[in-house]
Amino acid sequence: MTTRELKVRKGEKVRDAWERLVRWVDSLKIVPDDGIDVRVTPHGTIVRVRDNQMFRHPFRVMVSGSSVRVSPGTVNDLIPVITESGQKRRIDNRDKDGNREIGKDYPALKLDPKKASKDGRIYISLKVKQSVSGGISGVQENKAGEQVSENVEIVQTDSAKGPLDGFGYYPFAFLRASSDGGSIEEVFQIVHHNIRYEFQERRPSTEDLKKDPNAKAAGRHLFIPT
Amino acid sequence: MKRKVPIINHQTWNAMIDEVSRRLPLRFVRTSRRWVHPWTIAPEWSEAAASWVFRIRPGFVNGVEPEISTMAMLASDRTLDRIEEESGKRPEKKQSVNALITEAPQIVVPSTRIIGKGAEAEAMTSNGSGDFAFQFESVPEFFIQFGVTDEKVVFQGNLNSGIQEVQYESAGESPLLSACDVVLYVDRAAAKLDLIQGNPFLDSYSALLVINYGRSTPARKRPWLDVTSKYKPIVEVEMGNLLEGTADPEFDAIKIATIYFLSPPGFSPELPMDDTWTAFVKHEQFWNLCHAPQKIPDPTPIEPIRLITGLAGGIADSIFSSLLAPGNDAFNSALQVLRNRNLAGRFWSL
Repeated sequence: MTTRELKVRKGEKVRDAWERLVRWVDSLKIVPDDGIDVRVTPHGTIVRVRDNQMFRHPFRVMVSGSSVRVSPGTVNDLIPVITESGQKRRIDNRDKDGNREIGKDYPALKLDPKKASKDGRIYISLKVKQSVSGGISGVQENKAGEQVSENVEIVQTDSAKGPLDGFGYYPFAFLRASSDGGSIEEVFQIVHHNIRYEFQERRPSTEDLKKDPNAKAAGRHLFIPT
Repeated sequence: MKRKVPIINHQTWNAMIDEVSRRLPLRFVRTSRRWVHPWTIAPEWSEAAASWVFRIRPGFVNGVEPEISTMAMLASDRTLDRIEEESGKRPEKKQSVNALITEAPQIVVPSTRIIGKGAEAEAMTSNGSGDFAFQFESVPEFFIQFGVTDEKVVFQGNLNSGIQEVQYESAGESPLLSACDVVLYVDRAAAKLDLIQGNPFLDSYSALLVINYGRSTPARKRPWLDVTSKYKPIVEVEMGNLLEGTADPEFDAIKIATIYFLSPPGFSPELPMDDTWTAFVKHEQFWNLCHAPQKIPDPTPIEPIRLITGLAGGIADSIFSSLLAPGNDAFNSALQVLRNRNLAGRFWSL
């Protein structure tokens, strides 16, 4: 029934029109169910549609204009940092001592279109500096007793592997930039879990060094979900 | 007492209806934010290709999206633009192209296997009393409720008295079930054993066993997906076969999903699938994946294993015999190297 049918002509009986109006109002009644809450208040009725399918996972990359935010997650129980205006800030918007940053928004990573690959690929990646023991280097304990390190950082790279500079890289998301580099057309999330990081090293044996004195250690960075 | 119904001017009434229409919040727009897991497959009938096709929600391996072969007419403009830029030529409609799964291609289902009535046997078994039976892929329980029946063929008798085939007819009206598998592959280096024959008098060895890590074809830069009627898990080459020159598999594979197609009841098995069939997907993978060899390849080349045998010649059989001789010093080292040769990788989700 449309509101056009509720209208009347001159001389039409009020009762007929009234009954049509009641039927219409009845048809619009909102029925609560598993996904819909209906709350009647003196100021009006509040209808809330619950979206249970929303998946709020760690390291969710959210693009806003020319910057990205990453929802909090952990790597070996450490919170990664983002460099914002030259300052390293934790992605959970807390300072080094674990206190909430008052008056500041969550840190955002400014995207640099010049750092995109030729075909417009941008990766928001985890960058890890390994320690000698195979974990993450520079881990300290803050005043709150939390483990912290600035060597777990979220950066922009132009490939999934990242640059070959000795650090471990793993992409959280792949962003496709428009052909003019002015906007992000698509976001593909890659990581959905907190991460455990390990560096496996295979150092040259004495025998290897005898054969080749310049033999270098081979190693690999492993990223495992937790 | 009869109650008087008030008289309302029709213009006043209609103005009230207009006001109510404006004020009632009756239009809800709900944008779906439903999360769809990586590798989600959505089959559909394509009129253009006159075939069943599917789309796949992009998944990643080590952060890299796989590629898949499809017809140019089913690829997106993004794929065709990329190929045109790389090769300088836009592919023809029916040409096969490699599309990245982030480019939203449609992929044709090339061939399927039949499950249940009309299926081909997977194996044959004997119960010891002369009865032989073929083994068929069992019909998943989900499809039994739709009336799909198992294929059943039994041989009765024995080899002396003769064998008679007994085929149990199932209901003629039962729907048909077909399926195909979507498989993910990642290239890797494979171990190959090269045998260099020598002269025991001149070379101090009768044969050299050299393990080489490499590939017969260049490795693909990215993982790839393939649609096959039936996926058979990769089996590593046995040591004996390796000695005969067989190479290890040059890739690792993992099944992503099985797509089932169910016909309407009474559909003729002679006819190809059409749009009256219904597709169902059983996913095996739900997360993006990582892949790595089980161990880091040796940074230095493997020293060839010298075999000193009492046998002149040096043909593979004799070498194999000498390897099996427990007294041979080379045996243990050869065995160790051969056992450790394997560069098979493992997949895990992230």
